[in-house]
Amino acid sequence: MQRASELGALALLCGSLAGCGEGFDSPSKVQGLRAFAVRAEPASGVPGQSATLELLRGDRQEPDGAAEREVEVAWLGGCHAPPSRQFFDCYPLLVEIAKRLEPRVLDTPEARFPSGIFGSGDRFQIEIPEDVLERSPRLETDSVHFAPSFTFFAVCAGELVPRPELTDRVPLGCVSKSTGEPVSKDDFVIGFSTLYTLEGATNENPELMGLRFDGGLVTEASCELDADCEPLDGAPELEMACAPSSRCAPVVPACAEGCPGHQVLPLIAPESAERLPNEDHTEVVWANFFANAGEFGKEAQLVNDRASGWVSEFASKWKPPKRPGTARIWVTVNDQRGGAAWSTFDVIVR
Amino acid sequence: MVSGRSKRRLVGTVVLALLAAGEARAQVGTDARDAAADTRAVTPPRLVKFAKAVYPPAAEQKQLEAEVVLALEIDALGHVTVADVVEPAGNGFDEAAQAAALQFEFEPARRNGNPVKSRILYRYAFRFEPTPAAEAPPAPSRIDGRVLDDAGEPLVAARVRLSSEGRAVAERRTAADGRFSFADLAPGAYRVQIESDGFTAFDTAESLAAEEQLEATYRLERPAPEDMVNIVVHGTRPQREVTRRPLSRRELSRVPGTSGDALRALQNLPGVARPPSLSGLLIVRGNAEMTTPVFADGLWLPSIYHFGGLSSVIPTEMLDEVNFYPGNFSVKYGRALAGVVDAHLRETREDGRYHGLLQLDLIDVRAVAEGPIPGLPGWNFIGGFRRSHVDAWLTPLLEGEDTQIKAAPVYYDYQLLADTRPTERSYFRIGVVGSDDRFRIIDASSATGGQISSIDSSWGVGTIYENSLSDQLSLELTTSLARLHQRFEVSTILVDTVAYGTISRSELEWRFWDRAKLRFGYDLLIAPYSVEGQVPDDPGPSAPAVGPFVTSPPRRFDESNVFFQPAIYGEFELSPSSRTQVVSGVRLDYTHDTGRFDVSPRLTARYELVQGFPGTTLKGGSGLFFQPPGLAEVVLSADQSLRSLRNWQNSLGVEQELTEQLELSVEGFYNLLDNLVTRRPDERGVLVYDNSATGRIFGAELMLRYKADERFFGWVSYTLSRSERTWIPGEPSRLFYLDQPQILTVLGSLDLGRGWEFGARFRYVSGNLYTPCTGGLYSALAASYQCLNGSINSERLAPFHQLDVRIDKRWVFDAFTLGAYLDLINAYNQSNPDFIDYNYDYTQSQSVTGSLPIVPSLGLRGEF
Repeated sequence: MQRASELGALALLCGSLAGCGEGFDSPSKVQGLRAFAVRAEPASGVPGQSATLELLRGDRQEPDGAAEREVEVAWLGGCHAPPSRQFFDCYPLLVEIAKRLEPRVLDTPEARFPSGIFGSGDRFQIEIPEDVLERSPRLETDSVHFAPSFTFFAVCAGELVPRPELTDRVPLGCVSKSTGEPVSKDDFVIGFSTLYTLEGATNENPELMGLRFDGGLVTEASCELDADCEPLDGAPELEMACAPSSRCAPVVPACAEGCPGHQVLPLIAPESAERLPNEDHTEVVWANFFANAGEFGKEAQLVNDRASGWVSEFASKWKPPKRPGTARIWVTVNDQRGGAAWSTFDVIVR
Repeated sequence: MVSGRSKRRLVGTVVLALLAAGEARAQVGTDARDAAADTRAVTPPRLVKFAKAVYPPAAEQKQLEAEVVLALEIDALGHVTVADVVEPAGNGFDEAAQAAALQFEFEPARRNGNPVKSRILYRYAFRFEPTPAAEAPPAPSRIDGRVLDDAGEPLVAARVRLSSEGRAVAERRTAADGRFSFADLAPGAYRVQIESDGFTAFDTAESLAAEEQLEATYRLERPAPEDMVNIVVHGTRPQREVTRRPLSRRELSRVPGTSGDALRALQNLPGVARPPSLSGLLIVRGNAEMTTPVFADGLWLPSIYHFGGLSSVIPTEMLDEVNFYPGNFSVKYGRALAGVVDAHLRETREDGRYHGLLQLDLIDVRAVAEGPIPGLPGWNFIGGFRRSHVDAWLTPLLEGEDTQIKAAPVYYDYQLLADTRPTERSYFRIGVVGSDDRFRIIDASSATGGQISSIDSSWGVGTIYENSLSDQLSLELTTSLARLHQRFEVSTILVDTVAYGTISRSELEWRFWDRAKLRFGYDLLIAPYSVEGQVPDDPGPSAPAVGPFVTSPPRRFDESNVFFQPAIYGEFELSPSSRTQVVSGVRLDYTHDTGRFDVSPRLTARYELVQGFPGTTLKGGSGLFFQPPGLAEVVLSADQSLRSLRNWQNSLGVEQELTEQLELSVEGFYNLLDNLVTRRPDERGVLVYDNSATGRIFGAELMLRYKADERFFGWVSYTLSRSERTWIPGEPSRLFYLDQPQILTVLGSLDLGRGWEFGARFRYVSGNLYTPCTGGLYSALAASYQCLNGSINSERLAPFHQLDVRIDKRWVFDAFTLGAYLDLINAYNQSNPDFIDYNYDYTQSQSVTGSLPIVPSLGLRGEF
């Protein structure tokens, strides 16, 4: 419990006095390949049933008209309820999977493995074992008995290769298709997703009802011409145009020094903060903001706190870049038990 | 320090004459002649250690008296190398005198300042004194004392009264050199009262053993009490621990960089590591946090600092002395794996007047009042209250667009003590002590923020009773009832503990022989508690990083139980010779939480290799020290299979007096730890708590100390150590995360006169260890990257170094004293790294400082 105090001291120290993270680029600034979220459907596991994982990823801004980079995505799964309940207990299993992969990972036929072990693309289906809850150690102090299912993924702006010699991390690498050399950190993301199967309880993904940009409700209307785009509800003065992605997008001026920025507000249903099992409190919910051009003032905002409840104001201001182009903005909403939701839109900077 | 001596009964009166100097230490002077040296250029040798001659039994039977003149050759080190009989007396007197003289030690003669060999004549006189009747009291003891003023100058004509059991024994006036003497005293308890115009009356108790010659220096203070604490310097008194480092209130209150805070000054002693910023931890000899408890008059203080170290919960003004035992301490103390801090609250003044104090500094404002209690003759009180005002300047610093201050950071503490002496031999005190820290803010700028709140509140009522039941028996009894409430909450972490603790300690000391004592005691803790909360699952100290706590499934607990930890102990102290002291003891602890008994045998020994000045003392100790597992570990392990943590402490050292004021202490230590609590996979792979971790700590400590005099105090302390742990059997041992190989502190404070005092402190400490991140692994659960650990605790931050300076000024008026100080913390504005911060995906890093930039801390103080 002393550590709790230390965490508090560190939180105070970081948050208020010294400013952890100062001096680095904001995490909201997307300058390379990034993973933003994995959404599971359903958001908590059901023994004996499958769940679909979907990856939200993004990349740096490309010049208008240029195609987005080709990306390889691979999934390694099948790690359910390891005894320690920690992800690193899955590494031996991952090594065994990696040994059976082709030298170019995506050449491996998915049929080589049972369902939920290996896959590619932005979506992946896993199978929750019928006895997953029985496999998981039962501790008296757990607020609810649970079993985690860990699924690992790699996103590569190159070619994915197996690295079974890596026994203390995910045994996949990413090399350049042209040189065969490892790519830079901006071209390779490796991560994992956790899906909890809860005994007698479920979790739902947060409900993100939409986004407001400078007060206007962002739409996903498609377009071919600027004229196809209607003004946003709530912000009739905001100019709209058709972005290269063929979606209607607000148009804003490039940002010189001292520009005030544009407010991005996720509309989140209060029901998203579900009550925690065996507790009167609701779960923690927060939002993250990302943009591949310009910069958000705050990369994360608490939406619901376990102790103090719903936060009244959780918008973030986005400052456009100095150069014209089309910026993509991602907003994700997460809850503390693995639920996720997101929304994406473009902004044209002129 | 003045050395004391004991005389054996009926050894003949010793007559000593120093030939060249003519300095007589007894009642008869004699010839003075130095045949060998040119007296115009030579400083004669000076006797510093006297040895008693055995009165020849046959001569004693015949009631013979004699004088033997000896020629002594003294080498350049002051040792007697030859003792020739020049004028023999026969009847065994010659041999007895020779044997005694060969044990004499001198400050050597000097020629032009350089020590040289010398030869002097002694006349050793044997004077017969009748053997007392069988029922006669033991041989007389005596008190030889000196009374000094606060500048260290002798006080002339001060009235010194000696009483025993309420009856006046004798009264003396101090001589021109401030000295006085009470001879022919029976063993027992005495009260010494000293009065002198312009000074606060002084009152203290002394206990004399048979044949004990107590030499004492008493300093009388002027009405302004803060600077000069009554420090009674006794002769050689047994230490029950290998190393005890007492600090006087003056030293405690003037250490630069601590704003006069006594317990923060502890961090400048050897063996004490620099804690992480804002942690408020006391880390001793490479041990973990929370393994060195702090007691106030024997009662445990759960939190010693407000807000992680801003100031301690007991103000310096309420303290008399702080004893710090870095290891190998007495069986009187237990439930501590590393060391012990025992602070003594001060007794009230008995001058019949009221005193007050008001102090204001950057952190808090405090007031102390003291005086007799109206209507209760013989009773006095002292009360203090302190409240921080950090909320005034910290609130604007913390409050921002995403931060709301729901309850500004505030602390306060209070103490109210009343005491009396029911009899000449007894003392009783009752008091209330409490402290309260709390804050509540909401930080909405991150997922791991939210409401951050903390409450650390405690109060207690305690009593102390001391009684010298007889010349051989004395009793101490302390009891307290306290309420403790600690609550900490941040995001998904919550720990809320309420406990009602009853602590009772008692010790009976029986001096059954002049050279031996027995002590028996009990140490009882009964504390019903309730704890509820939730904490993230901790995979153990050797596991990889597991990401933000907010998304870790919490482990929840809500438990009510009783801490029941009784202990009994016995201790035997033996001084087989005047050089040797051995203390052996055993302590039996029972811990209800674990259902186990722990037996702690301990042994310490001291041997005065060179007696007198400059004394050399060897010291050493070995023993077992246990500490029950922490509440969190007990609650979360649930199956109560844990045992107490164990530390086998060993130490060996030497204390060397270099000058009257300068002493050097060097001590090596080697600690073997086992039964440490760890969390690791069992045979099924399930993480469980167990006692399988072990450790090793070894090192050496050096302290070169200039004992406080009227002008200066200071010390150099240096620690060289290594602290290792093996968290999982079979795995290689690793450096413990609190390992700090080198800790250097140099400090001093000089009285410049006219009320000015200047002090400075410089510290150099090895950088803290950390585990580097070799990359990041994205966790979709937390929507953030988490560190991919490199080798655990394999990197070290840059060393910490800092200079603090302090200037004090005091103005003395007729009715009151006004003081001011400026504590300039981090004088050259060094930015010391406290931890490593990484960017969002752990591909970039930078060090972050948690220590303050240059801060001038100004304090004002008035007292009467």
